[in-house]
Amino acid sequence: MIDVVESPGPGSPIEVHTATSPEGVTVSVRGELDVSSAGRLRSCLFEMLTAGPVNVTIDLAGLSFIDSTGLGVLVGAVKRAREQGGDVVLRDPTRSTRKVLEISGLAKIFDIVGDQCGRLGP
Amino acid sequence: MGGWARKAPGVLAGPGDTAPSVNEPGSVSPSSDVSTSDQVRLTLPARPEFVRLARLVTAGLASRLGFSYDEVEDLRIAVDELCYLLVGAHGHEGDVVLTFSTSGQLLDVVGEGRPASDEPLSPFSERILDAVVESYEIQRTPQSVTFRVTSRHQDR
Repeated sequence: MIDVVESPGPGSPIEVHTATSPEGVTVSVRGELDVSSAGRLRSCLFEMLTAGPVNVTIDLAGLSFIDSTGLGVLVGAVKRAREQGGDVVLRDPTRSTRKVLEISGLAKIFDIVGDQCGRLGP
Repeated sequence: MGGWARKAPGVLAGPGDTAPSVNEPGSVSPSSDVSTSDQVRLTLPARPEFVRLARLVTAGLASRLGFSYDEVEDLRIAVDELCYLLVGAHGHEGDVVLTFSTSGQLLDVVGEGRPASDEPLSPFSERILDAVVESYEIQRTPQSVTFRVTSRHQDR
């Protein structure tokens, strides 16, 4: 198991931990995913998703904010993963992250597991 | 809350507007206690790393006014999405000026600055904004973009 922490510079809004196991790769994202931090996560994900088929779990339990730029990173990741024969699963989104996924319509395209708060609405 | 009036190219007067204050980038006009009719003006460099500060001030003011957790989150992401029009993915020279005005249960946020690009809001942005705020407006000229978003605190 390889654990890599990417926390570029003081005051960075995002921290990315990567752990590899026989089942796949878990990428834990902590902080805020916005226009200033999206590029870092994108680079991290794309690097691992272009090496061949890989199953990636993105742990969102520590993600306190995501906007449309952040959503674009997640969408790009799942597309790339599926093109390579793998997949991306979102795990434990917070209530606010789940809401953004729902209202953007993207909750339908992602596999989401381990919701912290369950679905919004009926 | 009143309409929009044009004081000078690219400058719009909003509710409660007084003589414009000159702020250094990163500064906030002094208004430590937010009462029923107050204005806070925040001037930020037009760079992506500063949008977080806009979210912090938005959340702080909304919380202080008694907005619920969900209402604060809604307004926070709304301001973030709209600031993208003024900052873009890479930022640019110049400043973004955010003016927060309160009136009763309403929090009104006006953002002004140079346009980051000619691109409109993305479909994701539009969908998010339509869901989280009751109204927002965007006005463009070749030299400026101004947005306005209004959120109402619901009685509990």
